[in-house]
Amino acid sequence: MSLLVLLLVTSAAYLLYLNWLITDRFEGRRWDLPARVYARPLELYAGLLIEPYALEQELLRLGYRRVATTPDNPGTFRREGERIEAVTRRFQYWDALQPPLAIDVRFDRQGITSLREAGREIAIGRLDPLLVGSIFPRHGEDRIVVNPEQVPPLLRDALKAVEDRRFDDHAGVDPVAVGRALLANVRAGAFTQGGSTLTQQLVKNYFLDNRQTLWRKFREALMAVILEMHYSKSDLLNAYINEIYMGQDGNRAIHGFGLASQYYFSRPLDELELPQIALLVALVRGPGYYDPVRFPARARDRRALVLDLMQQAELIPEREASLAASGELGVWDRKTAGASYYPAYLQLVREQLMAQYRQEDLTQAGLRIFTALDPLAQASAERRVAEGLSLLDGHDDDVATGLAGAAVVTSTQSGDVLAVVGDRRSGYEGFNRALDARRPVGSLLKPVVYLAALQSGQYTMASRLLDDPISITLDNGDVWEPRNFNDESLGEVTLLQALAESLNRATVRLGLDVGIGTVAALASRLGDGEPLPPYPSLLLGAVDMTPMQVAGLYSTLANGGFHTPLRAVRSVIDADGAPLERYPIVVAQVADTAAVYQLNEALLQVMKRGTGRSAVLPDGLTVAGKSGTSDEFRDSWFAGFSGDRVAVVWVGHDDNRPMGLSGASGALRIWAPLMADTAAVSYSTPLPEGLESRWVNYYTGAEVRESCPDAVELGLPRGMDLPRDPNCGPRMRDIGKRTLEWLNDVFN
Amino acid sequence: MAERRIQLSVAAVALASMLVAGCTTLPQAGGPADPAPRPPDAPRDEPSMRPVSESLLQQSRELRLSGDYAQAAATLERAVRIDPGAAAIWLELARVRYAENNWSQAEQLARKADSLARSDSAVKADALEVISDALRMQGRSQEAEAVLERLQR
Repeated sequence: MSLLVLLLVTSAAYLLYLNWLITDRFEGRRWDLPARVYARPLELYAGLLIEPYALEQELLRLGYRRVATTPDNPGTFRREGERIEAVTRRFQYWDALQPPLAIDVRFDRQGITSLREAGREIAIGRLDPLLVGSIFPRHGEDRIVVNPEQVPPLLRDALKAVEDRRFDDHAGVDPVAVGRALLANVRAGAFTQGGSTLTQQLVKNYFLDNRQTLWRKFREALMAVILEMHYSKSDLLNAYINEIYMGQDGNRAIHGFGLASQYYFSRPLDELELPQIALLVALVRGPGYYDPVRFPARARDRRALVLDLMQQAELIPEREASLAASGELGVWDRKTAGASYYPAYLQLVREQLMAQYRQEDLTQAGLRIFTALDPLAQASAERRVAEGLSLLDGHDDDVATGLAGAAVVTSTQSGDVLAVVGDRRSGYEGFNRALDARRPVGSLLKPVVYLAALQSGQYTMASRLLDDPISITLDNGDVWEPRNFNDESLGEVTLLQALAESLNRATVRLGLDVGIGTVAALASRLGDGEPLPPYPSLLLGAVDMTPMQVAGLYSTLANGGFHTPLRAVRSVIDADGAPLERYPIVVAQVADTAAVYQLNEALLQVMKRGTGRSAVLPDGLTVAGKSGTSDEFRDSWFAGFSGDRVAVVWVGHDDNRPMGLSGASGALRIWAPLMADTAAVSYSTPLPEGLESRWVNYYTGAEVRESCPDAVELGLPRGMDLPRDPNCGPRMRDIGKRTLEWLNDVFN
Repeated sequence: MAERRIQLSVAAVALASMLVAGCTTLPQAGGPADPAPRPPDAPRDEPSMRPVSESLLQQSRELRLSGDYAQAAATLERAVRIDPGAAAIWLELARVRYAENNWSQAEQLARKADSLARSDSAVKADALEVISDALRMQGRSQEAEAVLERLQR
């Protein structure tokens, strides 16, 4: 008797324990929402330089469905030659909830000529941004939670028809199904069929254990019954739809139909049609085994079976079932769509957010994070790095195989980080060289020396200095004798030539003259403020920086001396769409605009006459840049900018071995095509106050006529005395014109 | 205001032509109203703004006047991405920060507008005024005066 009581008490306690376990899990799980990370939304407006094909690709990337008639549902589009009509999706941005827009876009050869919405011309319209990833917890579970109203009724019915026919009637377990499965298993002599209800599958999924012991099955059944006692059928089905495991993407486990729909079709769940719904239901039984990318034949067979069962349950007519079964799987190719997983960029997103948010906020609170990621720039950067490194790998079998590389692309002025590549393999989650590889920058730092010289007021780009052997006794008694790249000294040169051709000896002389401390402080201000050691070797770039830090520094040059912190995240909203945080553009002037203007003119000459001249760029695209090479060819860099883009590329070996490539023979070969892909606007800035345009000889700095050989137009301090070139000096008439301008200036 | 400046510049050119006429032949002295003649294809002029940026700029002005500074700034940042070199957008962003009493950002953004504006533009003059006001609000009256002097030049 007492034994019986003990048994009853133990059982009751166990049931209570299970009850606590399962309800706790069920309640708790409702809130476990990884933050969603979005790329930049594409802004459409008349004047945007984009081809119809590119917009079509963007729509396909976003999972928009092509239709034959005028599109009328969100997420559909039609293209007719140079006209694209689409209905955009409702989307909650940081600043507004944008309802679906029925847009009509017309193109000519240049790009968009008109944008209309519901028949009216509109100035601008946004496409919903691409979902590029999420910040999921360490255990790797990622999901997009959907509400019951976002679930197509057909999906619910199909799940029941395929997985659990008596779902609406049973109490958590289905004795009929169990009996049938048992019989089938006995007949087959092995475990081939399960009789699990959706509720049991849900329980099993909560505890993620695939061992099929009898005790475990019993426990699952008990918990299923307990769940059914506490919650309604619709709550349970919705939990199932959000919980179930649907695939694997590297470290990331795809859970729930909401994310599965995005992952396999790049489309929200409520836009799915019969073939896609059937495929997702087919995957439930074994996302790995029926993986539509790796095993398309299996996936098709299983989908056909699902469609068959749906038809038997009279959910769909036979004709629709067979039509859907015969169609393509329609799973999008994430790689070629340029929408693969972007771990390198996401690391930057996490780093920026970690300052404000706790890890749990990011992995659980359902935040929506809007970034500046440009999928097109990112795809181009990934491709250019991979292709460029393969090409460079071949240049020298001994030292240059297995090169590593990194690239960063940002937007001038706004500081938006558009693309981050940390490895030659896209989607690679390991060492992120763009953010974490600190390497000597070599001549990339030279522009800072020249900027310091220009700011001192003692020099202009037309000033001359000596490029001859120099030796410096260091604090420790060593003597440092910098050499030029080709070991020659050029004697007297202009600052312009010295920088464009990256002359070491001339640069060291100049740096010593303006002061190493001045140069170090300026470099730190132009970049992220990190102090740099004021050693003489700093003048030749013996300082370690990451590609991202270099991008920061060059972005300040591109912005005329205004520092704007680079940012990946623009804004964050919470799960309900309420704005939480915006990261606004912040600017701080850290260098004189006129001095930066003059410096940048020399960086333009780098591309025309100096170390960047071998770059192949589109006609008419004016860019500024600088190469960097560290000692013994261990690092190859190129950094520079157009009017709208800043790009930095690094190439080298992780173990710091020499590889025989200079900045010009290595990184430039990735940088130039990357710039050609992503930049659309030439570098150009208005001539600052206090400067005037003069033509000087590149080698001597003497004033010349525009038509003279080696004539270069420079912005120089107004009224400055320049030696006249004895052979090709300016005509009196030009001098008269300048006097006129000067007078005009005085009177204004 | 702009017209007055042009008249002045024409007068200056005419005066200058009298002064210099003695020693050189002048190309088209006193001709067009552009005070600093430059070849038409010179890339140094302030980039003209696209209609879409004008529209966003107008929208953000209204938002600022209605006191919605966060939305105004967000709208301007959209415009910055489309026309990064347009001084007028940066000037308006400076005004939003000024309205928020963020004097130092107002000053910096206006300095940026100043650096991007063409020397004779109205935007430049307005930018100098915002810089001067923002400096004064930061208690830097002497610097504010100096900026005003630049404006009157």
